[in-house]
Amino acid sequence: MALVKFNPVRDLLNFEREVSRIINNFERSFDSDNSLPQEFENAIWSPLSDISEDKDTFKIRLDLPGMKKEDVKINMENNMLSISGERKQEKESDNSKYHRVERVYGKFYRSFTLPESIEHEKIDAEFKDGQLTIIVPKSEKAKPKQLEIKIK
Amino acid sequence: MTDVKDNKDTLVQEYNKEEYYIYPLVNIHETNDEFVLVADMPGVPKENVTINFADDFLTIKGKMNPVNSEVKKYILKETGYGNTYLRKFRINDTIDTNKIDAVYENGQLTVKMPKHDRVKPRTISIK
Repeated sequence: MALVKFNPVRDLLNFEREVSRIINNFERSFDSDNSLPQEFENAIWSPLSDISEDKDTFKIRLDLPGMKKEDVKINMENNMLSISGERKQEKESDNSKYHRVERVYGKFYRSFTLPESIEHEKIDAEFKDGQLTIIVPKSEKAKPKQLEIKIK
Repeated sequence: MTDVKDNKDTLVQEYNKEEYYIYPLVNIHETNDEFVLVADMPGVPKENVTINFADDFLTIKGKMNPVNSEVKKYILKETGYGNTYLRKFRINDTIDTNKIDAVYENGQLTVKMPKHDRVKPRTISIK
């Protein structure tokens, strides 16, 4: 066993290092992380979504009532499909009194990681009656194949 | 204006029990002149929205087009089951029911219900 010289300052230094580590972690949790898109940082709600699958496509449907086509942004990056935008509040006079507020306003964000086996170039989107439908076609290799095996 | 979500009896009497209804989210606000109700009914085409007023009840209803029956496999399902939005509100007599006006656009229904002149605030000038 090696003898270690007693150094009363070392414990203090260790303590200082530990405290600054905790503070750094704490501060980092408030910093904007570059790995997350800005739209996500600012978003305050995310729309309800349904995803369905049939043999050729994936269909992603999002409820965006009261919004216009121009207010919705769809982005595709590294297999991550993200939908963002803003739902603006209707203008009301100052003297209005609320009885019920169930609907949300403000910036929204939602993202989905798509599987590898899709046709990136053929993704299609449609906005109708406050509903956004994104159709993601599967690539040929992902489609179920049926092979008939003949009996000799 | 009150909601009648707990009053199940009236709903059952009037509508078919077999059908599932989705409960639309609403905002209701009141100004000096009117009540404004805004309801979210995404997926409903304009021609399928009905607003009915009878016996002090305002009923809003919207029917979505049926989803292609080929789609059976859901990976994620967050929206409600059923394809009809339905909600009822009890309306008091301060509303002039002849002047109820509604706009439907992009899955959002706005119903404007003006108040009777007798309930509107007014200033009385002193002679």
